[in-house]
Amino acid sequence: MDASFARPDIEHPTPARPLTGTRRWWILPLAILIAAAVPIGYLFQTVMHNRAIAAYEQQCQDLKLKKNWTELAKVAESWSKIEPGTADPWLYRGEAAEELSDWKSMIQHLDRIPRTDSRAVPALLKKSIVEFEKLNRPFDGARTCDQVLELNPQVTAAHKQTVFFYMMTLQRKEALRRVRRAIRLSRESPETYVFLVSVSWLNPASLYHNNTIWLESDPESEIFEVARAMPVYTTLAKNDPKHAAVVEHIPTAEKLLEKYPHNPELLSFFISLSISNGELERVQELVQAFPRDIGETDPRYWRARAWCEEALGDVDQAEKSLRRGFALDPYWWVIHFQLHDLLRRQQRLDDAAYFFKVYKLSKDLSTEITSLNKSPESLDEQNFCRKLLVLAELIEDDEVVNTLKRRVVTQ
Amino acid sequence: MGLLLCVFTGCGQNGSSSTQDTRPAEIKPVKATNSQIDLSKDKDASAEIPSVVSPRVATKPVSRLTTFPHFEDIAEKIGVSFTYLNGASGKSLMVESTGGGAGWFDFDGDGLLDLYLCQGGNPASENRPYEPLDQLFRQIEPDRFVAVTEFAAVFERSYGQGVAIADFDDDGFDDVYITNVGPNALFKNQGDGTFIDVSSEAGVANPLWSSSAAWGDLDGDGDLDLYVCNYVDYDPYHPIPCGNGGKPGTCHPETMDAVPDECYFNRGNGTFLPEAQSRGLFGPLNKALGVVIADMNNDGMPDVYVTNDTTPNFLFINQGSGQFVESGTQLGCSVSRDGLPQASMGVALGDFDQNGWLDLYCTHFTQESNTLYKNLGPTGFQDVTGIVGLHAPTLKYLGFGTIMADFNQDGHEDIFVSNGHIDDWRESGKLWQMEPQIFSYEGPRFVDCGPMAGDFFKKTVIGRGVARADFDNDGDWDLAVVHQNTPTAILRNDSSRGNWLKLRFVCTTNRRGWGTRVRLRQGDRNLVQEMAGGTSYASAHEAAIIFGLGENSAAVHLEIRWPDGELQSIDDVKTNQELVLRQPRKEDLRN
Repeated sequence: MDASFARPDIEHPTPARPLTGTRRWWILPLAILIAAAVPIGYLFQTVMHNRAIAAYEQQCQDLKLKKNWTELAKVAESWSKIEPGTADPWLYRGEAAEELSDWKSMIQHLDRIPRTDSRAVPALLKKSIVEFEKLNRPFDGARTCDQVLELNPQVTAAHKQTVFFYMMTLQRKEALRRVRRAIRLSRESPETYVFLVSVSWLNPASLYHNNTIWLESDPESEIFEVARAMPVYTTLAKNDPKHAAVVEHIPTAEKLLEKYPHNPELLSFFISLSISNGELERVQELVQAFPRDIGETDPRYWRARAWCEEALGDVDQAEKSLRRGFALDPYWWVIHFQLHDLLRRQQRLDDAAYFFKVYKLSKDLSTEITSLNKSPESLDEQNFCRKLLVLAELIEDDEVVNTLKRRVVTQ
Repeated sequence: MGLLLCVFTGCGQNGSSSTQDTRPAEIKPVKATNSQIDLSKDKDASAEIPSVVSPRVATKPVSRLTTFPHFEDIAEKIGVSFTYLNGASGKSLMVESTGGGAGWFDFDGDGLLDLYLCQGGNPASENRPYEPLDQLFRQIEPDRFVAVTEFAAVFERSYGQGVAIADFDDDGFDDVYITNVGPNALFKNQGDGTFIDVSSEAGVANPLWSSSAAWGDLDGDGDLDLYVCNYVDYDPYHPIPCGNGGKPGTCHPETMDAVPDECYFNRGNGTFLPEAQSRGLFGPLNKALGVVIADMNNDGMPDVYVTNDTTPNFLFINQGSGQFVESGTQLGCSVSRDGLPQASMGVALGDFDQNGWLDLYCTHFTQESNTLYKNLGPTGFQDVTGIVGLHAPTLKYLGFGTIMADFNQDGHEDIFVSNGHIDDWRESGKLWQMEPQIFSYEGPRFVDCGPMAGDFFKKTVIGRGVARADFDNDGDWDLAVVHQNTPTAILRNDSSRGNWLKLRFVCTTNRRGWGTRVRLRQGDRNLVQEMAGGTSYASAHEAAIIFGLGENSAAVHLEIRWPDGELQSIDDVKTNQELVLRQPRKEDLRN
């Protein structure tokens, strides 16, 4: 019994015998090997990778030289899979897609180029052109230009493209904002000044052509439809009977206003007609149809308000409204003339004389711009800029004065 | 000499001296005021008014004025058979588009108005001597005209554009200045029924393409000076090709070089000096088609308003001593209310709003609408075309000659416009021949009353010059309307009309009284008219003023400012008559 209660023998573990020198010799090399294996492996991998990239690059170069665009697309695609974060494969893929006229792919590839890469800006510029021209996605094109300008505000071509787009779609406020930005950054192209002077009134004949194309990309677009129609209403059909037949499919201005009763372009067009015809009630009705936020920032709205106010005998308010318009667009000759005319009739001859001087200059410039409709190449840039400089000085637009001075001097 | 006497003493309406003279007696001079500010203060003048004021014609019964002006073309009936030929040969030479004009005057002093009509022909003729003559029609008895061109020795075969008439040498006989494409001509009336070309001696043979011309005493020296509108630099013998797609078309004036107008100052010895430049009568891009000489700023001196085609119009303000300053834009009458220069052709003058300041109405190209510049007074003009309802009705028309006058004598001005395109664009749906138009001022807006004004206003023509005259001596304005390639119309005014007063003048300086201004007061009514030079287009009017007075036949008060600035008031002047007012001589005033 006792034995049953006897403590069992506990087998104490044998204490580990310390490793002797002969038993530990491999550890160090192993450790070294292991330690070395990582960089070696990495090195190996890098070498292999670089060899692969070099191979891809070489292949791509060769294929490019051979103009084997299909193969280039494949190779570059493989390359981009193993190296998606670098610009080169995307550039090759973009180039191959471009050569294969695969525009959609092209812009996708160009869009993958890392923004940190110096080649992103030209690539995005290219993308915007494709979006504008090949894919007929003008709004995407404009957005891409904006991306370019975020990356590098000094890219003149992007300024030029956005200004053009917003002018060609008669998004005048946006156009003016971009015109101003380009001038502020001294990255304005010569036509920026043309648009600066004409932003409130220009309906160039090319609106019809451009917006006819853009409208295909979005047949329901109010912007494109109205911009396409405006030169028809204001110039083409009026002056050239040949165009009357061409533009028969354009709805009448009345119909288009029914469809878009708050469109500022159409409202301004009808306001202008009604002012000519002396129709006070109609002008008031049209002024009220302006969406408030748009009207507040549209000099044409203020000009129309001023006309109504003067017709109702409130000359002081009319002057205030005209001055609001002048502040919004200090280059619009119509406002200059109206202010001159109003002040002259108030016998405020000094003020009237000032606006007369301004009007003469702005009208002169606008006449030059109008003639560009017939022969765009006829713009005498130096002469135009010199005249504009005088006008800008007169209306104390320092931003424009400073930029123009540089331009005139450097010319 | 007999004819000379006839001019002012009256020879009867058949041209022969008669004891049964129906011409009005002249009002003897009354006390002239020295004040140049307010004539109405001269209340004493009425005391000296002679009671002898013979009406030339009996007063027509005045019915209630419920009708618009009404005209009938009686050219054929009265023997005025004339067609201005523009010589169109399919080449669309630019000069084909602008002629011609008419001028009313009593060349033989028989008391009946005669009519001069300039002729075109082939603008590029190699045989000018074989081209048709201008025509002079003499009214040999009331309502009967006979062409007397060759008898009168008016051998004018140039490619004619317009007419300006005045007695430049103050010999009592009106002379004729013809504007041409090429040298202009001045025909001096010799007083014996014949004329002699004195263009070269007088020094007024302007060699350019002239359109309108006007006479007026611009330097205040008492004799009449001549303003000549020159259009553009174009030679029909060596024309530049214009047109579209191989089809010839009239050249656009914007593509043509401007040529300056000229102003000939009368030296008082039958010769003139061209002094436009030195007198300030010039401006940039001068492509003139119409002209008015009248006092636009009420300072007592004649100013010059010039309508330019596609470029701003000019208003030359007289500074005194025959010096002028161009002030059109500063005074608000050179461009439209939108600040745009327009293709201005003709110009009418009148005080439509009866504020005592003369307003201007300019005719324009299609799609521009004609423009009414309201004269506000010292602050200048305001384009009120839209406000008075004149914008839309004229948009589709291309206007030339125009006259502002109270045709139906309801007391408000009407406006007549002669229309017609310069190019035949019918293939493109544009009008070529056009109806003339007439607007009646029904305050505050004008009403297009053409459809009610007679059959003439339903016919389409290529209208150009329009000249007004009371050729039938019934006290209202009749019209001569020149058309290209269709007969000239003589519109007899058959309006059911109101009361009236017709005035002619005998002035101590220029005899017909060009530049005389008359203010008529009748109760609240306050009308102003002036014997203006020029107006309309390429045409000359009878040297007279007719006031329309509506239903009020009460006697009126007249305030007269003679061309030399002398002022005269006449009270209690009976209406419905024609008067010849003679300017008091200074010695009479002293007495």
